[in-house]
Amino acid sequence: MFQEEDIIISAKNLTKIFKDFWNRPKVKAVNGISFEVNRGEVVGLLGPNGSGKSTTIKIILNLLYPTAGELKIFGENTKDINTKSKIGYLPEETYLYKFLSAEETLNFFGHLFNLSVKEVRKRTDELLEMIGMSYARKRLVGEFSKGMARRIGMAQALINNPELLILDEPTSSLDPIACNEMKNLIKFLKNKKKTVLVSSHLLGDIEEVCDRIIILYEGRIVAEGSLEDLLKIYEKNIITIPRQEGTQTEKLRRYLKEELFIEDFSIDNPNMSLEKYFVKTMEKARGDNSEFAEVKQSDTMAEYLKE
Amino acid sequence: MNHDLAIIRLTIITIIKSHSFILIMLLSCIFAFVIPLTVFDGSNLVDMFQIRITYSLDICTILIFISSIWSGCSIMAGDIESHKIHMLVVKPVSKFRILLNRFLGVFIIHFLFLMIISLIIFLMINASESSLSIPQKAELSKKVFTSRKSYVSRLTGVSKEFFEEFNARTRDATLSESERAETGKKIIYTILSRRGEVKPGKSKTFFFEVVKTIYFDNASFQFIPYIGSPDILERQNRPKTEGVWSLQVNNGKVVNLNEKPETFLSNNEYEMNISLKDLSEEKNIIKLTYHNLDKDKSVFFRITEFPRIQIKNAGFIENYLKCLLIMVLGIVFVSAIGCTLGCIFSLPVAVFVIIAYLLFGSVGNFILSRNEVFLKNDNIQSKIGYNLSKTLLKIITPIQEFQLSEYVSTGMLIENDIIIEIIKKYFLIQFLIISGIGIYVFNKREFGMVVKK
Repeated sequence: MFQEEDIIISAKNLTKIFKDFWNRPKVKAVNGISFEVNRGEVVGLLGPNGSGKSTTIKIILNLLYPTAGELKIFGENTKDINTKSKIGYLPEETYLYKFLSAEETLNFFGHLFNLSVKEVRKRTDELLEMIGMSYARKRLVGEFSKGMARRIGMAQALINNPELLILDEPTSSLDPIACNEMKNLIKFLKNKKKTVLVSSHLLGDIEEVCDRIIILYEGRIVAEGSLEDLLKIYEKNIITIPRQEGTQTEKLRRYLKEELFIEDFSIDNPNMSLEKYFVKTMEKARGDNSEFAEVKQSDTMAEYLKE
Repeated sequence: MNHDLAIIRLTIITIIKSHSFILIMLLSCIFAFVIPLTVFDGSNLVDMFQIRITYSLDICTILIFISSIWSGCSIMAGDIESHKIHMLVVKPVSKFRILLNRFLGVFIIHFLFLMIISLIIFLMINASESSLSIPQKAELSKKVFTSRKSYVSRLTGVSKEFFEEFNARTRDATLSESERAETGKKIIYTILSRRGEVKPGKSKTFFFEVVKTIYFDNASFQFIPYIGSPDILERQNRPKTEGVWSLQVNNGKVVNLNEKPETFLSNNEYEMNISLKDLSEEKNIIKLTYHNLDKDKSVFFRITEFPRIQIKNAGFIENYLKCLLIMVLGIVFVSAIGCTLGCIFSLPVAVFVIIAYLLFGSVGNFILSRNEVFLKNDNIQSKIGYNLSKTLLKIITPIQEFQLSEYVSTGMLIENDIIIEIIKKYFLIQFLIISGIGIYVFNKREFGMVVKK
């Protein structure tokens, strides 16, 4: 059971009704949902288009006001300014100022958190290093590809070392390598006891990083729980062992059949996911041409995020 | 504090990078440089300099005002439409501060630009003056490069006289509202004509209450005589008259200002130098007497304007700076309008509203000034036009009200009362209402909504 101070987001009967010009109800985008997100959790918001994911996130960020219900972030109202200093947000599309360079963009967002000039400069350097874009620090954001702009968007979401990170479709527009980095970053933040709320259509991404998921459909929560509870098939077991030769495999098959009386089983080689294969291939191909790469892969994490 | 500066800086960069700002600023620079060099009128040096100053300042400030209103509007509406506002409102900065800093950014960049442009105009005007002869310079320093306070003659008992006559005329008559207004105007006109009339062969004294300044030796008085009737406005075949002016300061010696009888043309402006050495520190009464030597015709003066005594009160630079101060207030005002409209409307609608605002501001005063005609016509359309203008002008400010370049070019002192009046008239009510609407809408608006473009 979580203590009250560990409840980061608490929503009770949250409802959002969009109205028309004459104030008549038009769409019930969020329909009385209640949920909690606790400290250190990575929670995934899932659902088809129009299920209320983005609306819920916008209500959490005070970009929309709830029609009914109660929502507390860090125990405070969503309008509270101090609460916002603990939140990092990566929107679905990266809304950045095209005439600012990567460095200026991070400096600008750093200053919005009232950080000192020295601290902003330090964090900007570390973040640019972390997202592998140090070499493009002076380039204008307007010249960046979608993926590069997305990386800058992610960096600005982390500039305040947030306790709660809200990611709306974090891997959209990213190549598999960047997707992998993004997921590694989320896992890293999870280890640092940060709370992450992720909304995504890509179920694989959610499955890989989330502890818990909330599935929305037509503004209602239709399923909620830890991935283990929801996805584990308790009726079956998987045994992973090193590769066996033909006679050994035959022995194993006979043992399972004759000693354990199991008829319904299969012995096969496991498949690597395509994403893992792609990342591995790219690493191999990179070789000496890394200086010409659009975005350089980086394994480093910003120092201030490690604290 | 950091976040305030960051938003202000971002706003300034956004404006500097916008094409419309660059275009307007280029035009302003061209006008500031070119107009002082292109206006030539060899016949009248004073007029030429007055036109140069007025045109350069007016065109540049109108362009700066348009740029301020457009920048404020496009930044706010653009941020909302492109959802960039999401990135600001989710940060620990209140919506009020976002709006305030956006407004400050718009104001600061246009303020700086006004300073640069006004400095260029000032230097250009000075440079074109430096090539003149000493007498020409002296004339300019008296009539253009100066700051003179105007005093019109004291009017006492006008309202008493008006009400006596008005009551006498309307007591037994059943008049409509417009007829009463018309009667009132006629009575005022008659009283003022009577007060400003100098009958044939007679004299009339005009009283002025004057405050001493250090520039006592730099004084003059101006007058426009109307001979035979106060309504003669034609400039051809104008009647002539003969007369003499005399001056008395604080019951001192009466001094004749004309050595011999002078001939004056009707509807022609005259200016005569006077010396006011004997002024005391307290209130001074100056008596200007016109002796009408014409045996047949009366001479009329429109006493609400002429004769008037003008005394140098301050230097040209001081007046110029006061004019700039009013323009700065104008920038504050239009920037606030721009930001407010940007908060309320989408960009195309906001642009339409801005154009309507500026156009109406320009013609609204004109419609009101034509009220006499409307009331005379007394038809429903005229009345609607008049009343609509009157109502709308309570919320719409004509931006030309913030232009006092004519004062600067004619060397008329911009009195502090004028500045206070502008602040009282436009800032205590209209500015607060407009800013209040902007703040309210910005605070209430849900930025997460999909914006219909």
